[in-house]
Amino acid sequence: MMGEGAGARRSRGVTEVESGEGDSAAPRLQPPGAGSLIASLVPPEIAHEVRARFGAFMRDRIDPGAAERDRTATPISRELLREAGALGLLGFTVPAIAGGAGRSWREWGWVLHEVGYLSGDTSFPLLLAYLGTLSKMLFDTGRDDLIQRYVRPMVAGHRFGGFAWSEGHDPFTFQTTVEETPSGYVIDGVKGPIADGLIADVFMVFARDRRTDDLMTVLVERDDPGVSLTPYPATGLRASGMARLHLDRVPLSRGRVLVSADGLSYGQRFLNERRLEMPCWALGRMRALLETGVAELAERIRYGLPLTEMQTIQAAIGRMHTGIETSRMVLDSVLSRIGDGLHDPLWDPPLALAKYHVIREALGMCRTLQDILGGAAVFQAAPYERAIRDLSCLNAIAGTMLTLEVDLGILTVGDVELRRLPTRKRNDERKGEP
Amino acid sequence: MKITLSGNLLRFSKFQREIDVAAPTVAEGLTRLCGDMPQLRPVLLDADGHLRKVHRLFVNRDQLMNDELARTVGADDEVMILTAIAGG
Repeated sequence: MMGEGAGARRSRGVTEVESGEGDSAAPRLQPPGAGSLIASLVPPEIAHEVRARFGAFMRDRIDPGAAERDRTATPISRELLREAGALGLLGFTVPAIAGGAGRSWREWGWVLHEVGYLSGDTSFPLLLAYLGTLSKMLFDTGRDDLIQRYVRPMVAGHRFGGFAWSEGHDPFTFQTTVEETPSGYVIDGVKGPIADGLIADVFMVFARDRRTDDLMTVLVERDDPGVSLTPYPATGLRASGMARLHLDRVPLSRGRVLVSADGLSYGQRFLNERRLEMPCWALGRMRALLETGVAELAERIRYGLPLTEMQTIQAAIGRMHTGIETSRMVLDSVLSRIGDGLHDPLWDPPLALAKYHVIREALGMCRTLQDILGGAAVFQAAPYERAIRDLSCLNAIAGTMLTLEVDLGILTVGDVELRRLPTRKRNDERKGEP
Repeated sequence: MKITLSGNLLRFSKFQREIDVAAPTVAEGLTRLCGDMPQLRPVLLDADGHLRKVHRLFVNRDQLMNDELARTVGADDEVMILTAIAGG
């Protein structure tokens, strides 16, 4: 652990440590000790495990260079991801028979939360969650050829998967097509954005079968003839390797077909799980931001007082704290639900609600930080600007907030209509009574 | 049976929300619905003719799983299809 040497300062229980070079402008946080006043639903054994097993890796390997990767939209290197794999971060829920840790979803959710809290590069927990889900989906096919060729190397950090779903249209109007040939299939189209497109070796691609018009799911490798990638950097999360995948009549063997019909439903599983993983690590980042922000506000003097002594600032901090704690309660509830196997694997309303609630709180927190920190929230030298851009991108991932509102609204209206049905029938029956 | 559609399914039924279909079972009702409105077929059914798993189907207040669509229904039964889909 870093000590309080040169460049360190302490305020209100949070130690900020400035490193000597590279990202020195971004203070790093050490987690609060046992005496923290902030309630925590995170299982302490998980928090301890994450710090003991992965803390040094994030501090010494991931955090240095995070600002430079963001500035240049350079993906986190394959070498770093290989190290993450060696530490056990890429196959946490994959069964041991395929090289994973075989741990529960509930444990994984809280691990992601702690990684989000400790990591100075928000793209890192995004990639861990994303790569882990893809490995698990491939494992769940039960196909030994896929487990040997993809899952084992992916868990070890030697190969990486990409989820090629988006095209900018809804899935009923995807333009990418698959056509059967005497020797297999040919796929043609453009997919993207893909969160880790510049890193991935193999892509799970959703394309329309020209014969049936149904969505198929196939695997395309980066080295297949006719495959090319172009960078597609976003406002935030710029170290994830966001890219578009170009498929120019790429030939595929029959073994590359994962799902020959209803790829629409198959793809929803990934997106469903992503709506829970994302808020887990986003909440960790929110927690770190709040603690950093409070420490900074305590040192700023206005009208002779530290800003934290002003009631309007205290209220803003209280709002952010409330957002974090209610989010943590939502996640705890949903992680228990998924742990008990009660969730709908394709589109689970509580999972959608978890994304919706946590990301809404995150976006609100970004706005509040900008309001109360002023200039400090917009300069790259401070730790907020990049995190605010990163969190802002979460609106769009795995179903935009607006799409989730629409879908939850449709289900709510349907639920009310279903509940009214017997009453309406009884009324109809009464009409025929004398 | 009366089949009720909502949300993103409506554009495939030309925004007709309630459709009366004469059929002895839910499965046959869906087949006839897709015959009358062919643009609904690729949305509701997969290439093998099975209801896509993303749809939730209710007969009156009972949710049916995909292996229960052979259930017999009468003219007064109401079938509701609800769909939530993410991503684009």
